[in-house]
Amino acid sequence: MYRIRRSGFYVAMLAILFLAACKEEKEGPAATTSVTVSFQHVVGSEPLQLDEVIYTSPAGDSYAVSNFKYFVSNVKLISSAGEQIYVEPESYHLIAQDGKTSFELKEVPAGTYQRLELSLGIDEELNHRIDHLGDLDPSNEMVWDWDTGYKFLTLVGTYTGQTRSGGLVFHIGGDTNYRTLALELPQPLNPRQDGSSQVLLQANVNELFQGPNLIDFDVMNSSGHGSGPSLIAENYTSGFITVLEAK
Amino acid sequence: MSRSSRTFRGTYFSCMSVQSVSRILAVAFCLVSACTPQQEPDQEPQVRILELQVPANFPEPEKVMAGYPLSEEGVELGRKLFYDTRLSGSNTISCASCHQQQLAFTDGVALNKGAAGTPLLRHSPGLANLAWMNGTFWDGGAKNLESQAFGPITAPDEMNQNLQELVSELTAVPDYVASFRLIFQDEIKPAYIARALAQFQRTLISANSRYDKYVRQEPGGKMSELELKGLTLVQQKCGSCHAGDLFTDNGYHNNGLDSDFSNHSYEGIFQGRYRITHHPADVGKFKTPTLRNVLVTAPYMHDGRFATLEEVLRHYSQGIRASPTVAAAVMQGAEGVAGIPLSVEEKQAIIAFLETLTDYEFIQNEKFSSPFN
Ligand code: HEC
Ligand code: HEC
Repeated sequence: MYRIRRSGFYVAMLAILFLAACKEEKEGPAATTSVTVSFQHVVGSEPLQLDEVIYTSPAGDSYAVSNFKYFVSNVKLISSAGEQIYVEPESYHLIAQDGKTSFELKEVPAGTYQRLELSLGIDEELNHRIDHLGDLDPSNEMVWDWDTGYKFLTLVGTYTGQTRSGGLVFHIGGDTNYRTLALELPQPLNPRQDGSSQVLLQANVNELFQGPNLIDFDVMNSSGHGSGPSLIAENYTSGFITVLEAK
Repeated sequence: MSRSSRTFRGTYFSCMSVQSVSRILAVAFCLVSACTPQQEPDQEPQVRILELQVPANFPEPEKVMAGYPLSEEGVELGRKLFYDTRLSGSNTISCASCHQQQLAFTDGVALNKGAAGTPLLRHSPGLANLAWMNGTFWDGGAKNLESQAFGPITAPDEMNQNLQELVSELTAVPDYVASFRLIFQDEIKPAYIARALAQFQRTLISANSRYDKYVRQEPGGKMSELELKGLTLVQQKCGSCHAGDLFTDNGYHNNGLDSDFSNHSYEGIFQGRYRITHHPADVGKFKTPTLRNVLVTAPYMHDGRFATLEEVLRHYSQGIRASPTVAAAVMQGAEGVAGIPLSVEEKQAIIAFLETLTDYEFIQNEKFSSPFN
């Protein structure tokens, strides 16, 4: 009995050693935590509500939104001096007014972060095929199958303009419209160890239709596949997404 | 990735249940193996990796994405899906409805009808030697086979299927669930459906026509004098586009079918490659189809406008319509006159040669036919 227990003890010790060896390999020296990134959708100063509300576009047209979705990808957190960078692995998020509006950055190392970087759309490497999983699953209806690639942003609705009225269909995609935004945080973020830290972002639908390109729905009520999409892409590069809070 | 973490967790739980001293050894082994969760457990069945057999007279195929190996099981699953009417919303249409093996995977009509009962806007091309193609559809809009399949499956006028519904229909079939699990180590997802279809379609290699046997100097490779004359003519007059032993450069050309491409409806479907690139130089250009099996793939061109090869040759010799993007290679007349001058005898020789490109082994190969018969 004694002998067996003894050898059992040694084996257990050995096991613990192995386990410890595992641990060391698995976790880096620095402690990590998670940070939630969430999105609020507004039109001008009003909250976005699908179908319900009539909004006024920057060009003065009335419009309602029935569908609003976009891809946020390749999210990074960058420290004050730029020396520390957190890069989210497999970073592809479909943000939708009637779907997911937040995601969690996992295993963010402790540090002081000053800037959030994200891209609108899907990078070339993944955009040249649509047989992906998760948020990129083609059943999410954010793909073109006759011209392989993702719709980076979709806005569908109806409008009444000065001279005409009808549907709004903006599908923005194409490698040239993949844009990276660098967003300064209003105050430095030191992610808390309990994972309760948050970055709250706002996407303003009206900003898709102005700055630099004023979009008059009477002239352009769908994006098409030519130069139209890049007009909107130029707009979503400036002022479309802003940081409300980092806490 | 998800697989290795699952394996790891499984090992961990079995460790926790150990009680007797004599099993402690097993604990140690458990923990050792827990250190290397990437390792596949031995008992997990493996797929049999398949290498595409490149015919001796063919160039190297397009590279398949890393991480997309062909396997016997993947190809077989793709073949089942290709012939399965579950892929359509009404469960009545399969890929093979418009891509029939005995017609080298085309359908024999100019513009077929799909789920909507209305004629499609383009002709169904044959499917052969797709592994050598880097863009599919007549305008190359689908960048790879894995991305292409979602087109016909979801298009309202083709198969009109909802992808999530398709997943649940296939998930109701235990055989499918087991196959996807074996090949993709996961439950059924749209991406895997497309990847399996692509695996099968990459194996659709046509390289055993009489002409192939002639160039490879194999038994059965006899060609007549007329056929050989036709071969020379095709190489000289058509070979810049219908190039090499694939009989296509897989490039895009305006071969003079039309001169007016102003109709931009259906997101530019009648404007050819321009629809994809938006380069004015690509207006009216379509992908060169192969001349292989052309005897069984009538009617011809992206809209099936020509019923016979005679009509095709009449087009090239007398019917070329000039426009800013028309290919110089179809303007071979003296002083740039439209057309490829061809005498009656030359046309006969060309057609005789084209007959030698019919690959009966391809259109009869049981590996490519329906697994449900
Ligand atoms: C209703 C008829 C129809 C059905 C069903 C159909 N196809 Fe097609 N297929 C077509 C047509 C028409 C085209 C050409 C479309 C174009 O160029 O825009 C085509 C093109 C293709 C191509 C491109 C070939 C090339 O040379 O570029 C492939 C590959 C293909 N189909 C595979 C499939 C698969 C796989 C399925 C089943 C999931 C399928 N098709 C179902 C009609 C059909
Ligand atoms: C400038 C390049 C070019 C040349 C030269 C050329 N072709 Fe073509 N060929 C094409 C293209 C592109 C198509 C498809 C056009 C379309 O559908 O819009 C085509 C289509 C065809 C088809 C129809 C195949 C099918 O499956 O629909 C046949 C047959 C054919 N060509 C034979 C010939 C012959 C024979 C010659 C020489 C006398 C020739 N071609 C010269 C580019 C060329």
